[in-house]
Amino acid sequence: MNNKIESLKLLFKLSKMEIKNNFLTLRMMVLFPILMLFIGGSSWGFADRNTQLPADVSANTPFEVLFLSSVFVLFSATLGVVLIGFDGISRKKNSGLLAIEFCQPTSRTILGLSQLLGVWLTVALPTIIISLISILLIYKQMGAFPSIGDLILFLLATSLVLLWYASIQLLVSSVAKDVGSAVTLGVGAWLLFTMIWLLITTVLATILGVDATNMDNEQFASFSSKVDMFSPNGLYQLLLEAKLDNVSRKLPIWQLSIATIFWTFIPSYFFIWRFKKLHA
Amino acid sequence: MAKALLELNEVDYHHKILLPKVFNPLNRVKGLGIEKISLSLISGNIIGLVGPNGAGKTTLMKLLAGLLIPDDGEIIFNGKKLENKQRPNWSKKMIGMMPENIHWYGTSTPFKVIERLFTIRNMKNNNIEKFLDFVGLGIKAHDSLDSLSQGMHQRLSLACALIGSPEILLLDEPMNGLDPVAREAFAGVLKNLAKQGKAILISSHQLAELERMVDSVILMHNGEIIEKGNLENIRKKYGIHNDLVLKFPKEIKNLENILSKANFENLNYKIFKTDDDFTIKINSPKGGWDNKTKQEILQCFISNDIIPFDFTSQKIELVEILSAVTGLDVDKVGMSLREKGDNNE
Repeated sequence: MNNKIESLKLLFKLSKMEIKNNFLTLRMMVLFPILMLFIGGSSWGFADRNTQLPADVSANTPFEVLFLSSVFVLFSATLGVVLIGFDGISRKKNSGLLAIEFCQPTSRTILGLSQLLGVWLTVALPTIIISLISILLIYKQMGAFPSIGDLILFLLATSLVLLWYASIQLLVSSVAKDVGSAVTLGVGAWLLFTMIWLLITTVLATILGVDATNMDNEQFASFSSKVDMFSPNGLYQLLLEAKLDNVSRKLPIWQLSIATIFWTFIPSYFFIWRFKKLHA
Repeated sequence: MAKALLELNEVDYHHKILLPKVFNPLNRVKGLGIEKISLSLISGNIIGLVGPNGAGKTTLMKLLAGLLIPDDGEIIFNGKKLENKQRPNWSKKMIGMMPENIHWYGTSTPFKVIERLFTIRNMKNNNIEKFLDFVGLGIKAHDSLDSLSQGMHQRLSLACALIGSPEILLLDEPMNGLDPVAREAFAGVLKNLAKQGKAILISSHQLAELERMVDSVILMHNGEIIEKGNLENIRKKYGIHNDLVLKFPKEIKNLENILSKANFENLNYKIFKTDDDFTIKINSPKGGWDNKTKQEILQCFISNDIIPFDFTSQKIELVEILSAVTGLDVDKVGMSLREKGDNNE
């Protein structure tokens, strides 16, 4: 028991150190204004009553505004995880520092988890702070706050999607042999889920005989929601959609829960497994 | 009697090389490695691990440090046999490793690097500056890694190995990038550490730089230990002796005549000419040089009014020792390709 408490304390200390080091990098200085502009700016814009939105896009409640700004979370904060984490392992491995760390009398699980928590929280903490600032901006524009439940769901889902990306990034970084392949794999993984996923969904739908020519039809909506469970971005949107009223592609809570548990534990488990087997 | 802190018995390790096949993209084959390695690291001893590039020195170092897990053989730590799996933390506490060529770069500082390693070891962080002072980095503790010289980087790597005062030090090519003054200081530090009872293993491909500081050497070639023990004894065993080198200010036209007149026509020598000097390198006779023969050689030149400006005994290089021990030609010993380890797993 004492050992476990000691290990947790060590994990906390190392993660804190990792976050502190990441915060002081040039990457973070680039990322912070991007997060502010994307998340804060989009919330401010969507909450403005004078903003002209397409007819099928609704931003009448604070949570609907948060839902719309979640698209900007996916474009900025997840990219932030890529920026911080793409060479998280490969850099240390190539510089030889990983060999020194692996020689120390500390389990690789703790070293790996501290790396994961470090990358995740480096981006998640400012994202959460900016999201809270966004709530104030929404209040300023609309004169209303989202409910506590809505707010918790938004912050939790946002934190989770960043954790999923942190696991994926560190996993691919542990595979990368050099900086070039680290960038390629890191950005490639981000592009896959952010840009290419819809194309994959459409191709799969066509192959399986689902009408993909009209994306508004119910059959495609139902199909895409199932495919989206295999993408962190898709699952993030599905989690938020669960709280919206006028959405046609709702999935049962148990399916969403299983997908969430899967994405939270499986990639991070694989990362730790890979980290433990890594040759420094 | 000094105790063996770490022993390897008949240890094998082969790198697993990814060689994808159409129906097996994760196919791996046995690559190069080390074979049947047995050695003991003794408290208070400095051992030099010497071999040409690709001999398996770094693989052996990583195996000793627990970074690689042996395929076969025994590892015994302080009398306890370890399983061939991840090392337990108590055994890692005993080892300090300085890997080869750590690339220290970025805006971090030596203080932060050591602070992180102190934290990983669960050690208190209140004497880091004093600790860095020990390796001569105290005044640079808060400078960025980018601003440090190669020598300073090496000192930082050494500092990393010394954290926690481990009983065994594994130093992989620690002299790289150190100037002669730093080398001298480094040798002094190591001797002090050995006096404190630490077992030290230093790898290098340059025998000369190790010779003054080690108690014994392990010679590696093609993944195997080909000889170990006191260097002088190895030299005696294989009849390896220093060459004699004479340098003259200008070319000697009738060198053969001069030598044959003095009954030295059977000497085995080589000539090196440059614009500034004319060098004769005479190979040692079997059994080594005696002082009388050396005097006679010098005398035969002086009596012909040919005065050398330099007369030295040149240490045999690693490649020549390896050549003597392996029986391969000097030209082949360094470049010989390793043929082992192509079998599918």
